[in-house]
Amino acid sequence: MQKMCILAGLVILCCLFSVITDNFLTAKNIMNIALQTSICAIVSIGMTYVIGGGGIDLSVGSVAAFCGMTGALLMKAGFPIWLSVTAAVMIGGLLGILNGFVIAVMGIAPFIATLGMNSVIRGTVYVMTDGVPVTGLPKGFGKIGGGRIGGWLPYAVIIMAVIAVIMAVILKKSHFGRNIFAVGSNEQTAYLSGVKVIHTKIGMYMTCGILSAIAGIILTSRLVTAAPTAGDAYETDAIAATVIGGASLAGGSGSISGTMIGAFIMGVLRNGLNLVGLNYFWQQIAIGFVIIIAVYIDVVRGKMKK
Amino acid sequence: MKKRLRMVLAGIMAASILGGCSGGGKEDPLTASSSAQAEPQASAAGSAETQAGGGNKEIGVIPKSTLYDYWKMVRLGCEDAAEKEGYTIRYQGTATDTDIEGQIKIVEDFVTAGVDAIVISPVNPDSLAPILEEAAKSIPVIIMDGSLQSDCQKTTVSTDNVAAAAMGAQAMVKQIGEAGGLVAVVSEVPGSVQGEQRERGFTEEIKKQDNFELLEIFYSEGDRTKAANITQDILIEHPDIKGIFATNEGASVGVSLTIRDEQRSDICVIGYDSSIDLVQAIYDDVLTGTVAQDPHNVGYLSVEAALRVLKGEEVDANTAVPAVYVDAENVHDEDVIKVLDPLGTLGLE
Amino acid sequence: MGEVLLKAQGICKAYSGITVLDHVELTVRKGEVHALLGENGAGKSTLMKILTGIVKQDEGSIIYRGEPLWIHHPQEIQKYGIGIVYQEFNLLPDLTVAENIFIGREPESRFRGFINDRKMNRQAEEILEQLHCRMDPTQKVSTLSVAQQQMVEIAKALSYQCELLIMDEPTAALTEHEIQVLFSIIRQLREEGVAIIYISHRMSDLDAIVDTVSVLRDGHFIAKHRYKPELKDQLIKEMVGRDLVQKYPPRPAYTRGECTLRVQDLCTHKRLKHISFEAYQGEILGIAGLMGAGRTELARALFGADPIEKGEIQLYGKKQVIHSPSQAIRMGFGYVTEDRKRDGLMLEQSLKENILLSSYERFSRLGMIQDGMADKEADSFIEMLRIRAAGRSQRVGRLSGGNQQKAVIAKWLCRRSRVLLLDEPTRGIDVGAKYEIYEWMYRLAEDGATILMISSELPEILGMSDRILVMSGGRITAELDAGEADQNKILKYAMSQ
Repeated sequence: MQKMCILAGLVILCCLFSVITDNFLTAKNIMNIALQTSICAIVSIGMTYVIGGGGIDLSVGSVAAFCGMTGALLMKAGFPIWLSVTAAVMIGGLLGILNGFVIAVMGIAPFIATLGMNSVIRGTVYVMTDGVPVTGLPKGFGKIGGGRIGGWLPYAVIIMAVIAVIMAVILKKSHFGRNIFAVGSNEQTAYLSGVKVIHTKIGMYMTCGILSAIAGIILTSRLVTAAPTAGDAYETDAIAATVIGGASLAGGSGSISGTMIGAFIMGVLRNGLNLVGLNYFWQQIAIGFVIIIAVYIDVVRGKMKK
Repeated sequence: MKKRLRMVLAGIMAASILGGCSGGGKEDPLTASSSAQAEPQASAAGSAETQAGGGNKEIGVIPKSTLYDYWKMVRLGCEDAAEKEGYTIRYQGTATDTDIEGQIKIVEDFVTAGVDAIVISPVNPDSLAPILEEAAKSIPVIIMDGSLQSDCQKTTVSTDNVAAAAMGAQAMVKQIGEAGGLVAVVSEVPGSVQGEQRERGFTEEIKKQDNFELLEIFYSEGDRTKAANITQDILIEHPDIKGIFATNEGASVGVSLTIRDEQRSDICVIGYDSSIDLVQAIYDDVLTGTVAQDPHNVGYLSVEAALRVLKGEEVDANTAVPAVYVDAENVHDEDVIKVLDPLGTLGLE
Repeated sequence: MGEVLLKAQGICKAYSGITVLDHVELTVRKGEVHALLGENGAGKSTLMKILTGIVKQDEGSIIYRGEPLWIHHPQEIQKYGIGIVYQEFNLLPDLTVAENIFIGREPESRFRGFINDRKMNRQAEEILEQLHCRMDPTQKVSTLSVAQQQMVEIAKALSYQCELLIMDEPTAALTEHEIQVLFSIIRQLREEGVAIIYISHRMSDLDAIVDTVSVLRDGHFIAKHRYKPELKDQLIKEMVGRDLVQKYPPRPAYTRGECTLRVQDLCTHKRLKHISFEAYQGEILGIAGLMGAGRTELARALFGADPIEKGEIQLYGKKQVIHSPSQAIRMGFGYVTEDRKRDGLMLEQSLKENILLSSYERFSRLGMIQDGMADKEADSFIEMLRIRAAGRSQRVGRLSGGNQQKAVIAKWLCRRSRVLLLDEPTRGIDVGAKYEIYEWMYRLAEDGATILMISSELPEILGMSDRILVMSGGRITAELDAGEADQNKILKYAMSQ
């Protein structure tokens, strides 16, 4: 019901841009949008897990940068691509577990814990590289983020689609997914109903860390550079996409399909406004309004129900 | 008829997306952010109109950042060059000069929008290579004020950062004199190619001198406040410091702010780039001098090169734009003023 | 005896159709300590809320100092010189003692809007001295003991010239020594002509300080007496004395099965002291006691939700160490909590999610939930317990209290729990749903489950239990067979220390 509402918003947005610009509704541009959105979408999926469980993760951007950087450094050190990528993704999972530990076991509020971790991880990236981007990565690695099947379908988009489907099934159908929503809805109830709250929390932050790492790898590959500044402000985009997609920051709700629509609304908006030629500063303003309007519509609908 | 429909829809869109932000429709959004110096240009709706014709006669310009006066002057140079040949400029950039991802998206969208050529200042020489190589297959790519690890670009238009920084170093040595002493460099973002070149140009020149000693390089992220704080720290740690070199506008302003506060005009401060704040600092004898690039010329020469390529002419692989050293002695010269203030909005004399 | 200070007459109050006060009267004179007695739910709290302007009476008049009392906003009670010390303190833990005492009326300094700290601290010190209480007014309240916090509450009430002081269970959290100090303060205030309304469950408090007693029961005014120690038995009878015409389903024949749960010398940091008891298969074991007796704490300790300091729990003859609810659930425990909205349900989630929450393992294959099976199971419980809802996907928050409670019970039925801890299982639900829940309890017991039922409603305890444990002050003070128990007996043990 609510998803229909935001899906309609996305469609309206697309219609407007197709009419205003000549090049919006071309196969190439659609693929561009999908490619441009894929990284944000993957991070947002992880964020949906965390927000669904009543948490928040402000460290996604720096985790992405950290894992992209470690992957790049490993490749530079001569490790094969597949091994470096796997290691980077595992490190993302470990960073997520660390987040979860600080939050669930040490009992620090998620906002503060991940804010702190964000700074720690970002700082570590700078220390690791002395602030200098790592370049000269193997050519084959560039394919992940930049390559296209048959010259038109980007690998990154395929990765995003596969991740979205898998993560949607896990969130909806698995025991783990149910537990996340239980913890997000009412932690006390979940605890007294036998849900292992600490495991669940650590699990959801780990999921978010792994997905951030994958996003970081794709980003690094697409830029053919591991930049220490990469992934800056990803958390805001991911939170926005999740919330536009119908999740409540109070926890206990959210869906991957909604989040994907949310991510695409922002992607389409950026792309369309670029095509129209709207100045970057005005784009920021437009996107801000869209976030507020989208959530306001939800608030109004919630009130009307009551 | 179709055009009219487009105009109407564009209006609706601007209204609906900006949520009633009426400025979006009427005022030119391209210039709304700057001090409204350039004549009104294609508005959001207007640019859609020009596209409808097919041959856009449009050059896409992507600065490294949209936050600094420097790039506004570059833009003006671009516009002046384009106007001569009846072209228009589509100007779009990211706010920060580290946003690789954002710049790639803009390139993609420019190609989609069908510009005739791209003039870009890449935030990173490696990362932008694949996408620009892709773009170069169909349209000419000109690099301005920066570099690209590729050979797809028709020419690279830039100030020779190393030579310009060395010029700053020479000026400092001359000012401080034989006695020498301790000098520091306040740079921008670690890893920025431009910053590195300027650091290198300066330090290599200083190292040639016997009596001069260099502190390690400080990074201010090109932020005035951070640069000012760093300078305070330097002054506390090394009160006997003789000279400070700042590598971009933000850093230069930051350094001069602290020098002004601490009334340490005995320190030789050489800045880089120019802005009204820096010119004022020279007037007030807070800043010894600055290595001014000629941003208007950078923009002008870049677009001119693009236009020549479009006409089928050959261009050199590198186009050098000379830098100008400005200090209290020449700051009032007419030629210098033209470099410092091509917009003519600063009211310099 | 002083002149009449407060006279409330014919006070009626109903919440959404349920009468909580029915023509209640209360007369308090200057310089007397007036005890207000009654069971949980007799209407004492509501009456106090009306006197302090938090809720409005539907009918009746209150004459105070010879004039009608009209309080529009709770803060105005200060103007009238009425002070109240709540059972649960209303202090702000991060502010200092003085700031808490003068909150909202801090003395201002020469500059308007700024507080004169020195003056405030000095005044606070003076008041505390009156109470013979040595305390640093700049100390943070969070660092104080419970008794000291109590003093701060009293100091707050006295900081404006207070003529009527209401104290709700002031001794519940205090040690014997602290209670004696409090009593001497109360006597001192009485000397000064302050009237005190004193609410307490502890009969032993009465002897020390009380002059007059009023008894409420089920929202009715029962009696008023000049207090004499010999009256105690009569007072208990008056508090309880309701006819036992409750509607309980017929009790199926019960034979004691094997011992399922044996608890020995259980102690926790949270109140429980040396708890030992046994529970049997097919038995409904009632746990009675007053608020704060430690009943909920007992359930939480058994369920692994509170850490156990020492003691032993045996389940089916085997010693068990229970660290967490998930462990307890695996051993067969189920826990229907006292406050279903706070920690029993996920209000924003569907009925199905709530029923299946503890049982997903049963419907999962490789961690994936088999939706078909899960839906069927949820539907079967909705039907079995006759939960009235639009369907399994209806949000639980929108159901009535009775149906919500059934959803909680369904969760444990679905989990096939064998030892059920029911904490106030029928609180706040209507008679029909109550009856259905009682039926279910019997059915489960007959089926071989062991049920521990905590209840504050004595008729429920008496009507449902096979055996009754009475708790007070964290201990079990009596174990009664259903046959030998009556309300007076239970109440006597519940109030004993």
